[in-house]
Amino acid sequence: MSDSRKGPRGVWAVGGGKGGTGKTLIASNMAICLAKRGHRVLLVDADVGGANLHTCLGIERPRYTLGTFFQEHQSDLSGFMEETGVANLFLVSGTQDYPVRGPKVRDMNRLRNALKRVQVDYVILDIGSGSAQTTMELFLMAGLGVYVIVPEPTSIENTYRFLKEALYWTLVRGTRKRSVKSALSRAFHVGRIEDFQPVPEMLRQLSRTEPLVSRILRAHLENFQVRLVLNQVRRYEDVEVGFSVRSAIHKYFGLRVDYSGYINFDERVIQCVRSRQSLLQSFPDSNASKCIENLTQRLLSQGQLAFDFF
Amino acid sequence: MIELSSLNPYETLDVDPRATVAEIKRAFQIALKTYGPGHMATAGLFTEQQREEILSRVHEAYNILMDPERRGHWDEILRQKGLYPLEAEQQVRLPAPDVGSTTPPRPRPVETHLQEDPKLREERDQRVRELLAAAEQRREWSGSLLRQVREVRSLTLDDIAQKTKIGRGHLRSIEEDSYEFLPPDVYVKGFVTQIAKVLGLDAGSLAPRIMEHIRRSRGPR
Repeated sequence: MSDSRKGPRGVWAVGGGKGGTGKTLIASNMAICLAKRGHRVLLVDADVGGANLHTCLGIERPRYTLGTFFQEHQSDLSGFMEETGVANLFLVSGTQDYPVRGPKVRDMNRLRNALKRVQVDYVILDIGSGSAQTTMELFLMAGLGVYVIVPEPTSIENTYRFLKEALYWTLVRGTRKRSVKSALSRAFHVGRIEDFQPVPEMLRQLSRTEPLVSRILRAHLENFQVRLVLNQVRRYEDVEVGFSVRSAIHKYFGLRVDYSGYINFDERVIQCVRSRQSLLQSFPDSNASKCIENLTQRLLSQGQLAFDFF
Repeated sequence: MIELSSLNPYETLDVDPRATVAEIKRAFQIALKTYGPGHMATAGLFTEQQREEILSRVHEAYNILMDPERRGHWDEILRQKGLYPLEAEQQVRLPAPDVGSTTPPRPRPVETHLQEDPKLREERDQRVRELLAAAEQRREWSGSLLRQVREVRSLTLDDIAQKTKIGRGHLRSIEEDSYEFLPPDVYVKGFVTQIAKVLGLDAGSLAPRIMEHIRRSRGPR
């Protein structure tokens, strides 16, 4: 559809602090949706240790994996891309066979560079759960972080923890000054909730002693783009949870995130996983499929869910 | 927590400065829940005291935004600071519907209220004129305008449903600006025209404007 010689137009990471929230479902179906619109799409299973994206797409034994990409010190992803049965959609499978300690810093750097050059329109990274450093690095590698929540206290609690870590790493990576790093560490890891300063305020205080670093970090903060997606919506009130979380993030962190969409709970999702087929292909007219299409559209157009959604 | 006094009323309620009255109401309802006791989105993130503080700001912001004069005052401040989303506003304003004249639609006498006290009637007509003028000023001809007029006329949704023979679900969808589940535009146009007539509005000029808004909200189908 477009000239992809310059590298992808968008790299989206799909993550979420808690397991079982539907990251893989959303990543794979968004990718199919983009491919159906005529974009060349690469799905990367970056769930280190819990890879199963290939299964969701009905591929039994992936030929190449991200593990091999890391192990063989490759710098080009194109040799690891596999066709998927959906036109325009390619897959780099996960790291089933990779040593448990996970990828190293230089592996990450190679992946980051490879993603910039890969010959597709969009890359979607399916990230594992938790907020370990590797997960965080992968999430932050993308230009856009799609964060999946479900309307449950545990998921939301993890969201704030994840965001805090993600913000911390975003800023810490932006400077080499030890004094600034330790100041950030102190600012982020406070004991009492009322002592936590919103991030813009942290940077304002930093600018008194380190004006230049503060400016650089502010730029890093602006590149930190998060889109909330609410999965497993069963009731009308559930949709509101996304607005609540967005509001709380703004008032607590001083950070603006978008609420890009929600996905209705659908029994057929489970059917799809069991039969190793994608939702968008098996049940294109299902409610959940429509939700994913709307979500993809909003991500492309940078729109948000409006208050008059129902 | 963010310094609450640094937020403008729109930021406090998490709405866009171009938000409709219906959107502001909904945002307010959600904010009351969000910062009420024990909500999963805020539990553990704010202290009781912080929550209360946010709630009182939320009420304050809502009162400001519900008062056209005070809201207008804030809009002016935001415009001066360059914080009002100008570009998008112009975008929204671009395709003004061709209705043959530039004057806003005028309210016509309502047949349903023939027996009503003329003084009261004049008062209501005046309120309706104000609503239309405000809509004209904002270029915001959404379905919620019909609800505002209906409320001024003190008619219930059932009254409208009875007179127009349009289902209450559709009526509510139009009034709440949630057009997603309405039938195709050609039907909706008929609905809007009928509702406008029953409300004593100039359907000929109002309906195309509202339809324009609905089409835009629904996007290409």
